[in-house]
Amino acid sequence: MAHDPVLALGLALLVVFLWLIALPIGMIVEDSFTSQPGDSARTGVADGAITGYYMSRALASRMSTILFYAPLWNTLLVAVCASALALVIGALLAWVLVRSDVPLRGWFAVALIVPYMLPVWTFALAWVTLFKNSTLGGQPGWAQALGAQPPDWLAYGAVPTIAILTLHYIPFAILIIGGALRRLDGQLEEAAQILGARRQIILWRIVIPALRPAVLSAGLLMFADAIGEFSVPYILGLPVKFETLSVSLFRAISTQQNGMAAVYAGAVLLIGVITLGIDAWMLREARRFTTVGGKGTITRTSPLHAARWPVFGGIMLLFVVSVVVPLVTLLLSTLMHIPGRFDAGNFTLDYWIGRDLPTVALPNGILFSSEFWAAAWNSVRIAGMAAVAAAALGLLVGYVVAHSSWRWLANALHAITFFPYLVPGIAFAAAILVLFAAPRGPIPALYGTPYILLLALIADQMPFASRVGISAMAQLGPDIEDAARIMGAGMMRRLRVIILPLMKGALATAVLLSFISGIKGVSLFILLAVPSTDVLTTFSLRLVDYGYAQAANAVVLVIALIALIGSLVMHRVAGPGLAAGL
Amino acid sequence: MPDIVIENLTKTFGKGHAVKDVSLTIRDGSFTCILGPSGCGKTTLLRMIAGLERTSAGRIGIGARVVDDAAQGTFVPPEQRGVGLVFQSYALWPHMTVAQNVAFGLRLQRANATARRARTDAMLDTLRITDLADRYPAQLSGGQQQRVALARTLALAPQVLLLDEPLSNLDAALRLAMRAELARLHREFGTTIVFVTHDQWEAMTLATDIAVLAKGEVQQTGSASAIYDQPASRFVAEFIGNPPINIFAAGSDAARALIPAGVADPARVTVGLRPEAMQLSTVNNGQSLAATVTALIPTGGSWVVEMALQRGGTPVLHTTLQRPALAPMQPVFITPQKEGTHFFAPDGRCLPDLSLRSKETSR
Repeated sequence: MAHDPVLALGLALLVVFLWLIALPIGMIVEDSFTSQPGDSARTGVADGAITGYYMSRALASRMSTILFYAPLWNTLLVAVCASALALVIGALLAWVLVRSDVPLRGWFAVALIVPYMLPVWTFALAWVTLFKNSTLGGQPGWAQALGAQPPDWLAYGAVPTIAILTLHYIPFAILIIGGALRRLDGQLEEAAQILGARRQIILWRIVIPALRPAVLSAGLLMFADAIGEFSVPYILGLPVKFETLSVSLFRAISTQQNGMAAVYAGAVLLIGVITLGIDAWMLREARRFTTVGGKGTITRTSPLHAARWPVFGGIMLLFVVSVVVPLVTLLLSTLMHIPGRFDAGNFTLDYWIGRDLPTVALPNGILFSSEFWAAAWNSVRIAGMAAVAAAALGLLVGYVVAHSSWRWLANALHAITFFPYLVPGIAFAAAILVLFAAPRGPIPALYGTPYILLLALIADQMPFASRVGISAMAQLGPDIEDAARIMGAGMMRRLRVIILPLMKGALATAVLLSFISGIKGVSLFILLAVPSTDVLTTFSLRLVDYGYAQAANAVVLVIALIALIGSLVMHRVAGPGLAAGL
Repeated sequence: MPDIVIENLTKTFGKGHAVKDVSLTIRDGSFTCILGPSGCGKTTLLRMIAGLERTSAGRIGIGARVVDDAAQGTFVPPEQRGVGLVFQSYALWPHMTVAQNVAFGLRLQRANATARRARTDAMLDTLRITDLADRYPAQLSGGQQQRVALARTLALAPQVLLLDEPLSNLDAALRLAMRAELARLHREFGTTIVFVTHDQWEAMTLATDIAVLAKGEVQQTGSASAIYDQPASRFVAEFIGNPPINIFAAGSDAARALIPAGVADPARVTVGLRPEAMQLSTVNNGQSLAATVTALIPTGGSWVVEMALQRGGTPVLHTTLQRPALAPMQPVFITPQKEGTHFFAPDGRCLPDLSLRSKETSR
């Protein structure tokens, strides 16, 4: 067995992922229990010794409410509200899009997915542009410029965060529930109908129970994602001191409180693990009644009658609110000197193509500024290389999982490549930072180089890339490769001649999706990028911090444009199923 | 061409046995079928012969060479065994044309381009798929795909050809055509052919030798007619034959009536009666079972008569080539023929000496 190339490949992959995924996470968990450099006066033990100080400070001190329980409560509040709202609205929309005769059904099926393709903080910046009030200094918001003073609860904090995340997750719910609804064989309903069941009974006894796994799974996935969301509460929470765990984590890192950062990371990690553990358990339960979609998946549409046009209006309104308004707001904001003043003289292209502007740190319009192009090149380079590397690793993982006769190896790879999904980007970035801030063994300190961004992004993309690899290999089935093996084709030859050509489509999809998600990702990079290694997302947040709203919004629009075009190409090529991905 | 010798072969998956202590000799140049219901371990057995699965215990020898011996740690990888395998799914590479599929193995053997082309053309010609050479597998029908899979395997002139359910995906007409094709290949190449199937018709019509497998164990080996005429067990008797053998449960009136006198403990003997091995008559000859015709079923060239015994029990089926001069609800008397009557012990074993004695008493 020593000469089994699959085993050797599998072990090599396992070592890589242990180093890139398990080690940093292990180290950050360890950090929450060991006294960090410079903290010995507070912890009462030497640097590096075991201490319960950070835990007790977070969980059981006079500061606990402010430091930990308030952010925890906010995190859960946002996550529960946003995922529940998105689930209800998404389920309704999924039914309307799949089973009703609403006008422009096909068009909406694509158009309503757009908010999911845009970086979520696009909406946060648009919200700020519209509703910013005098609590925050700098240029006024549009509402303010037009004479209204939006109250704080509307402008900042929980309400806008929940609203934005809800808008962002609705497409996700539509994709998952709509997909399940589409796969649900119409004959199941017809069978009940023939037995004399009324439509109400069919809905409650057949359709809803059959969809329950998809609905619950969508809800849990959204919840897990919302737990780690960083950018929206970061932009909207600050003025009213509304912090979620991920924002607390960011602040702790930026103020050198590594021990507390580790505690936050651990908390976020724990919630993620529990949530996705429940999801995995439910999926296994759900497998008992997998609906086998044989032939004849005829789905009949139900007429909406008088409600047809009101429903159409409602969906159109949602589209306008979740796509048109944010994008138009951002676009107009980049064209105005003073926000919200709609005079002809106030409009300008300076922020795009001007020169010698009064903004000291960025004297040219973004299309003429070298920082923008450097960041764009960094984004493309890092996201592109990470996407290719992750897809290739994912393919190899799929290969080993499909072929290894050692179940434990397959299971270990399956689990470890999925692990980053449980870890919100910012917590994972903190973990990577712990690992690569100092030289370790043969690996030099990578902080400040693009490599740390690259490695973090590869690891972050592994859950998706490995799933693509595993499912593509599973669909391929063993026969097709055994047929080549029995003729004497070695493993590398089989990979090159049989597997790769057949996986081209899946691989291209994986690369493009990873690339898009790398381009629009922010929480993973915010801790790891320095000005010289800025990518577009961190560059735009730096501009937000400088108060250069127009330039920041322009950069975000460029990111949104790249993400949107990429996703639409994807949608054309691979259909909505794969775009749902993770 | 080599014999394949399988000794005490066992394959376990986790706690379950897929194949259990199987010993089997597959004669050189034979056309052997491993026949069994689904899940009996027959595909696992085939894959172990091919080298795609390793054995848990026991040995496999092909010709003079031991290719797998779990105890010795011997394992010859599949490509060095000189075997060809046609998968049930055919496993054609969808991104290669028919010609590329067939030529792939030759390419691996580094045959030069001319030789490769010549051999490929010859194989396509043999299987009559020359005009499909430039098509892709997705553009072919099931029967055509199967021929491509065969051509691809035969191009390497394997000493042993393994087939996994070779005719299962085909419609009735194609099955007949492919059956003829396989029989012709067997004659032309003289290859040892082993195929597995759950379809007794496929087994009976193709194979020179049959091994019946159930729950991972060999139940009986022999020629098709030997297995039909002298089943070793009730399982084999019931599994082979269509319609299936009529079974009279131990202790039933019908069973008692059929068991010859002088048998110790006759209440424990089950009786099987082949559907064709009986004569129907409208008069009682003293040795027959009284029944009532319940249905007359035409099955193409022959007829099936379904009857209910007057003493109750499961319906009795009779097949005959002549249109029976009977009508439903008509009383009828069944006289069994000794050649198609089999007796089984409570553990399912056939009682051959009892069959013999029943012949003697009838004389």
